[in-house]
Amino acid sequence: MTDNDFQLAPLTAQDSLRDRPDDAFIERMRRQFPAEREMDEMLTRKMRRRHRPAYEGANLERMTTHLQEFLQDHLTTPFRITQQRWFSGGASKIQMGFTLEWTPPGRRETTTRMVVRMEPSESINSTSRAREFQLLRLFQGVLPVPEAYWVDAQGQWFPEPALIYAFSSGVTKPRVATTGQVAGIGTNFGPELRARLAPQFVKHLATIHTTAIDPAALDAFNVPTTGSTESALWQLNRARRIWEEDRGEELPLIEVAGNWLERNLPTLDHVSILHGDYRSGNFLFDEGSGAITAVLDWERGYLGDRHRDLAWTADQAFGHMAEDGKTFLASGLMPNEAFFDAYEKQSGLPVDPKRLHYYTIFNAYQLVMSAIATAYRVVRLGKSHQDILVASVEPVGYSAAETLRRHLEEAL
Amino acid sequence: MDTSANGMRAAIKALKDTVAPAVDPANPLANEQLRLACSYLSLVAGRLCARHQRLRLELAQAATLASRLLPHAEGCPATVLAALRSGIAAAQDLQTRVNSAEAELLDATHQAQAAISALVRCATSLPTQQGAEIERAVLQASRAWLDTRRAWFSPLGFDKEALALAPLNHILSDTEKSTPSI
Repeated sequence: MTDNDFQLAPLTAQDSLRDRPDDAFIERMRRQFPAEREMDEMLTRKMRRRHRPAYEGANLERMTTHLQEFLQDHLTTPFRITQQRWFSGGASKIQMGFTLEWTPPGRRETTTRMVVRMEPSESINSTSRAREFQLLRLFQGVLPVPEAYWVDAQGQWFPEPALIYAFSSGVTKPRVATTGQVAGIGTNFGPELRARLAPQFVKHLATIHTTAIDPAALDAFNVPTTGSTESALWQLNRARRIWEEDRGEELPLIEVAGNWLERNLPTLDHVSILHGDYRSGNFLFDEGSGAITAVLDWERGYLGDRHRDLAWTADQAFGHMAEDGKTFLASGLMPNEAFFDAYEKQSGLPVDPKRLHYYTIFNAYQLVMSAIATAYRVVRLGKSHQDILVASVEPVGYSAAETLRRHLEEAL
Repeated sequence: MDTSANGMRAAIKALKDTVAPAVDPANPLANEQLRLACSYLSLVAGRLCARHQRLRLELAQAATLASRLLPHAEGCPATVLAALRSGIAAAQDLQTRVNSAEAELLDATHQAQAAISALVRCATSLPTQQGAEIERAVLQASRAWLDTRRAWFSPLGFDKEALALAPLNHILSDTEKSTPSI
């Protein structure tokens, strides 16, 4: 990237433009950091709405009203909404559980437990409900995933884009477990349960990565070209744009990382569907049988390099040491080498250490974006329903930054 | 005497002793946010007295790094060179003054960091060896900066490895170790 605007931006960008971006700032971001179409639309939408007042907070009554209006326009038979309640546990989404008494098309009247899933005004991770919906629909019957019923992709009925899907039974962690403070990070399943979960976990990931891509079913996604660095560059541009749009201070380490990532963009060998956040805490299982009942949180999915997912699953942030005190368990399930071996056997796709290394660095870079830059701006402007949680994850960003720093020191 | 920390502790006690029992246990969002709010307020109450010291340390770190990078900035746009020089000058001026307002410290640190960031962005246009020296210097200096931030937030418990860091008061008082040479 040799554009003079980009190089001098730290000296010229005013922070007030990040709070209240004008059209010129938004267009400059779009021009300097070309990303996938859907990502561009989401980030542009976020910036155009940034000047709006602080988020009022999650309210069951209001949410129910939006849901009522949505269903009135989407169902032709009577329905009733009951048992509305909030779910917690994630750092970015608003989720309301409810029970719907309704008559699905071509079926008898029934009662279904469902979830409305929506972002607040701005989230620690800006993601696409349209993409999430398309992935859930694609994998219905292929993987254990919640059934996705409807999507309000543009936020026509709900204040923000929203997704309505079936409630899935199961737990993210054993009833008696140690776990991290956010979203099941670092869950210790224990040796017996681990042995039952791990093979399923790998099998499902292999399925995700090897499922054929149907562009018509995934029209919210750009399909990158194999043999090029296009996919990696899109992701780097997205992360850089988020940094420019959200950060509250300069962090020269991030500039070093950006330089390295751009110099070392990997070539894509095989286009995979990616989950984007595949780890412990993002699948449900039945504690009795040990069967995985649902793979969740598909919001960060995109089409690209499987090594992005592999590096994420094996990230230090999401695992822990085994009982021997020296073996690191990827997502608390199996040692990294065992995980990659099992993945290769299941998928038939090789794990390339060089690309794994690239995406390990990229993932740390991206974590810094979310936890330091975006979190700062969301809290400053009061844009979420849980600003205190968003503020509390700032140290996760510094931990990720130290991981990033160590990797880069070895690489340079 | 400043009683801010005292008042914050009273706020935490009110939230825990009076507000928490009144929150609906069936509202997981409310309960989680109450817990996090108490935890964060407790962090701030405990760190208030060290805030000015931390800001001065971060200014010193930025100024030292900018000074060390200046000889390696040949070939950069004049704007970047000028920004480095004025960032260093502003920081050095503040460092000689005992009674600097927080806003001045923050502004000077930002100036120096912005100039360094701009220099790193230009590093890709410089000869490889020169660019690599700039990047390595930033990586080396970033460790001390990150150690400070991580130690600052360690009571929140979100950084698993933060327990291995030196206590914050050691980090803040040890400015010599925090500004390594190239």
